Amino acid sequence: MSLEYQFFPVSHPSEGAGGKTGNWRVVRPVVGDRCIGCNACYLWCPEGTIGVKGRRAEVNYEYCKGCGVCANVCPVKAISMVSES
Amino acid sequence: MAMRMVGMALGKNVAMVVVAGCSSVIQGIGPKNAYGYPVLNIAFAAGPAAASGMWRAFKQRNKDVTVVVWAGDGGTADIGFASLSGAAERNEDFIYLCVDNEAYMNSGGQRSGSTPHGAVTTTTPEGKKENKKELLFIMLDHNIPYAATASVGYPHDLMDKLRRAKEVKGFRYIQILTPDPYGWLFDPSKTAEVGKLAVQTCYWPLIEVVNGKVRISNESLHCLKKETRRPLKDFLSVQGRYKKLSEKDYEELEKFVDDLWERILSMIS
Amino acid sequence: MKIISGNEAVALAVKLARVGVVGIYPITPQTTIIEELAEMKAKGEISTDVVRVESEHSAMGVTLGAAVSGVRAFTATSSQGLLYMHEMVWWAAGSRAPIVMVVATRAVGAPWNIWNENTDFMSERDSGWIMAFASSPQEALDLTLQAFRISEDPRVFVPMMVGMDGFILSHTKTNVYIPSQEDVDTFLPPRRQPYVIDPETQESMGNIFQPVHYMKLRQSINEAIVGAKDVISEVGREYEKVNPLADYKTLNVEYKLDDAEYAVVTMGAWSLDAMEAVDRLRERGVPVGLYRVRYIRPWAEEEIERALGDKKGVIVFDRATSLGRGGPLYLEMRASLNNPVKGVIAGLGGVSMNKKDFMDAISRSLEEIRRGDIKDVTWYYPGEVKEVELGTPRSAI
Repeated sequence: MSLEYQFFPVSHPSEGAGGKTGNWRVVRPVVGDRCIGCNACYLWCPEGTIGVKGRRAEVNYEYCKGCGVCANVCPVKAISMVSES
Repeated sequence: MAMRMVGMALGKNVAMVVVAGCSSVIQGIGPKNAYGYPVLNIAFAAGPAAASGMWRAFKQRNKDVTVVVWAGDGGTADIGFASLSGAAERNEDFIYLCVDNEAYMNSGGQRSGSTPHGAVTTTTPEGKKENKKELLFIMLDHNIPYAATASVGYPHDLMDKLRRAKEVKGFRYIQILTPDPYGWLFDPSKTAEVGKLAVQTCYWPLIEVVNGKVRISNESLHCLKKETRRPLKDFLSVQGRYKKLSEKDYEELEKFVDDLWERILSMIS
Repeated sequence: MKIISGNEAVALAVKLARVGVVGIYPITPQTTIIEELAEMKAKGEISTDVVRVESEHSAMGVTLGAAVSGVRAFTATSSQGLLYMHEMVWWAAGSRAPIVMVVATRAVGAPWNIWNENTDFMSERDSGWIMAFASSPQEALDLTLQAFRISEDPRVFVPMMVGMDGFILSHTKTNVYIPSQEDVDTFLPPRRQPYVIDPETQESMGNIFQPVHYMKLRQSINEAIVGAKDVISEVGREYEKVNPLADYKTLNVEYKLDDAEYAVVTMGAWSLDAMEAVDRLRERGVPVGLYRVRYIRPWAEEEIERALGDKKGVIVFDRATSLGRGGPLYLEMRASLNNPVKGVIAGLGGVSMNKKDFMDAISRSLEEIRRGDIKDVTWYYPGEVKEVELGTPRSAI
């Protein structure tokens, strides 16, 4: 018997299931040379879109909303918020 | 953000129950899900009950899974309170996380039982007249083996608490203060600072009670003495929600903080 | 065979089904089911985890949480309890979690009333559950066992509730055939469910879906319930190996209908009184038969048309109301039949109806049908009730 009519309200883990939020941004964080790779930005970022890769923090601009928390928590002020326009 | 700390602190073998709130929305649209955990989304008042069923099912199936409830302050202090109290009284074996942003933020910022005195919300445009419900003490009165408070301003403290909670068996309650820039009216980039100011001004204690033993985090030790506390206005003045605060309201809030620490002191001595 | 009450029969069914978790909360007249389960647990007769929660809302919360996490789960309730649980009843259906619940029916307040009425059960018609109603303690046991098999069938995967009349079935002891554990184990395959919340599967349930996906999910429940008719008959035939005296090949039950010109429709325990009334009326030459509804959801449309479509008139007795409109059973029958249907509401809040009352109510209704002048739904008070004087103020300022 065909069970094609059966659907269930089930979902699976998937990056960006919340939709690409990068286009919400008016300012973007830019990581400068002073970065010491301490991961403070990773810890505080509300979106999980910044983290240390290698020795320096990198931003995933597809999903970063540009809230600026990372720039504020950076202990060496290595992140600056730059206007998108 | 707090969700990521849960991931870092609790490891992979976790199943979550999420009640109605921001977190039921930010998972995204099915059949996809933005969380890296299996999640049971459930009605507002049913989180602790569903978690009670879940961990027992895992036990029956001989599976070692940490069950975590993720609820907001509305789901905890108000609509979900009976279910929470029942589960705590039965000492159900799961971790309950109350993500406290002090209002019904998902529906646009209405007053909850956890909204502090004087705060403006969409349903208390004149400022709330009553004090915040003392959830930590209420939960402690259930004689649960683990209860703690944390702030997203101090992620390491939160993660330490999550790790310790994981090792305890029975009902574990952690209330995390999570400043909401849109409800508390401050610049979103200041979230971490506001979370810290709440602790520095002693508005929000960082404490942990394990089997009746009280431990106060280093960040909060200065609060034990009134003289060493940072003035409360440093925390209140950075938020727009206290814009209608009168002198009397301010005194009320100061008294609230004094009483809070007096009570914590009495627990230590 | 054992002489036991409906509630004891249900508790035995839960034991035989090897249920993993039950969430329990007391409410009359369901309470003795959960007391019996707690007793079994204390004696070590079951390995079921019995969770004594703080409300019916949580009883279904626990039951649902356990069910989606991979074990067989059960709960029971009544009346105000079912209404308090209402939100979770719907959540369970939307979750597509196989769950079994027994409802020992009771009137709904205000004012307080602990006696029997089926309105509580009938009020969950739209929730998305399979719904069966027993007419004897035996049927309560049989349907509860079958409910696990039906709700866990991959063609269904919808929770199922079994109703039974409060006190009249829940507390009255009759002879009940208790199936052997071996036969039940053969009849009930290991737990099956559409998904499991588990770190191994990484599946999540219930986040937001797009409107069109939501609608598709609702349609899926609808189709699963309609399609469950075949599963119910199949499981019914299979069940004869568990209880050789049972007859569950059809969803509903006919009694002396073949040569009848008129039909009486009932549900639940009072069907036996109605059957006696039918017998007596037939002795007097009234060509009447009886049709007992066992399944409310799915609704046995084809069976009903076949059994009742050619009758000159159908009289539907409801022990429940949809206030302002008539009884739910009557409304359903009218939607299925083109021939004259007369609705009678009786027995609410514990008003008892015996054989004579049924004969009287049936005769009066037949007169209306024969005259071709069917009046509105009749609120029938039995013969012994001469006049009802409440003595309360009729108006207040």
